Amino acid sequence: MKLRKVGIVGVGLTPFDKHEGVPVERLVQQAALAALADGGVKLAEVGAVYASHLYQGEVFGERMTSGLRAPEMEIANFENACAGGSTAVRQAALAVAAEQHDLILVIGAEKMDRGLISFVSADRELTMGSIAPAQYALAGQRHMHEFGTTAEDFARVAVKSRRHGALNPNARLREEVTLDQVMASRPIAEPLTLLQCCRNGSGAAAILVGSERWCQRRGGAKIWIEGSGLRAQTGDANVRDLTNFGATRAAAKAAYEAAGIGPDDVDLVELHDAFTIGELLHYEGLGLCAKGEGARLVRDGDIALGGRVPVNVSGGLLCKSHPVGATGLAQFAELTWQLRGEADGRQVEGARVAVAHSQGGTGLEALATCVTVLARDGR
Amino acid sequence: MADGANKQRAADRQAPADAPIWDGLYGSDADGPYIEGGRCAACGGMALGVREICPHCHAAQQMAPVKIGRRGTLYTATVIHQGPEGFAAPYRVGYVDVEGGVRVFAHIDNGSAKPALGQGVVLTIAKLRQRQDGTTLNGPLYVATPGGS
Repeated sequence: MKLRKVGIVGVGLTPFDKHEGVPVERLVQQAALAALADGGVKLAEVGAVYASHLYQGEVFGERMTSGLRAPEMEIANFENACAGGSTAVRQAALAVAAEQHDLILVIGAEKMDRGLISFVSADRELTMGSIAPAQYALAGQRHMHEFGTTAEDFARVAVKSRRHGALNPNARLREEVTLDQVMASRPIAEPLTLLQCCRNGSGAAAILVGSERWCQRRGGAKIWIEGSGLRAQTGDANVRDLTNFGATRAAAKAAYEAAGIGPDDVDLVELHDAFTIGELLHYEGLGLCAKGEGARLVRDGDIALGGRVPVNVSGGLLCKSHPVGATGLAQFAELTWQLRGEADGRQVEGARVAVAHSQGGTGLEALATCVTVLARDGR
Repeated sequence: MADGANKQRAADRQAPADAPIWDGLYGSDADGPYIEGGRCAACGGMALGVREICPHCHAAQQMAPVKIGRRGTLYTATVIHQGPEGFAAPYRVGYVDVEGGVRVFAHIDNGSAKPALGQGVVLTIAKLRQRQDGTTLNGPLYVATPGGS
């Protein structure tokens, strides 16, 4: 099947925070209306609404849209844990590419309590006393054992991202931290300390995905969705190399192939840094460096703003917090601003090709991972 | 696993103060504790627990119980400092590779018998969780192989 070009027509963000006492519908409407305004589009012109969430209950997209008067339209809900937002964008891009719709509004939101992330389903390891950060810590400990990565290397990821977050008015944590502060913060699951774990958050984001005609109509810099890959790691019968993050590797390969690029062509990345260990291992999974060399990118500053391939210039989940259903969409908002050249104070100069990566799931045995390549016109 | 749930309820009735943390995970015989594994008669593949459907070849009702995991090699481990209610933090958990390509999630000794990654370990059964109602939940705790691996 011949697929047509798909781009991002508009983006909107309700910056993540506690938002206590604010209904989720308000958070969604703020982001959705911002995306529509950014794209110069009315809701009545949208063919479908795709919604991403984890904890918000049935027919979420329908409920969130019911207060915004619009004709009958297609509405669908996507749950893929922390990768739900990017999964919904991928499905929207495929629907537009296959000419099922010309314009789709993707919304994602979450209202969460404070604390560290928890899962809905019972799991043997969680029942036996594991916690979400421990699952990354187990991978990190093996990485340290095999490749000589140190606890400080993981901690440096937080120092870098907090420096980025200080530049981003949309970030929730805007104070820089030192390596000593990160190392001395409360231990959670060794080597992870509190400042290396993202917080729960509430918030919303919205992305308008449209055909070339809609991108042309908006005017300005055009941002194309050039390729995406969605891959899961399933089957607990396979004893795995936990340092490998195979789902990231497979999703990246699919996305790069669809876009006709390689990791060397990438100018900046927003990736899933729920925990610093995940970020460092995803450098390797996305092919930004060879396996086992993630720590070198941190030590050499390659992934800092001004470096070879800046990662999480928004501050990442570490600085923005992590309202699960909105997290992936916020990455698309940031990368769109970056590729348009509108990321005041934190702009990656000359950015033309960007990668969004998100990963979700229970444990390291059932992971959904989505990788998307975005590019500015004329890359 | 209705049968497993029934067994669990029976266990709760008979010994409410001393129950397994996860039904069907481990057992004990004259040679000491073991992990409940399953081996598929159709393909020979092994898994943690006896599965209705073999995860390797998808054959139905072909798995028979096999005792595994008395010894293994520590693949990775972390010390948890902020655990769920009833777990006495800090405590160590990890993955142990045992026979048949099976990897077991278990608690790992964090004291005098603390194994390093890559070292040989031996299975013991220990109290892992003390619930507020007084129930003790037991489960696998691997310790370093005495005298090294």
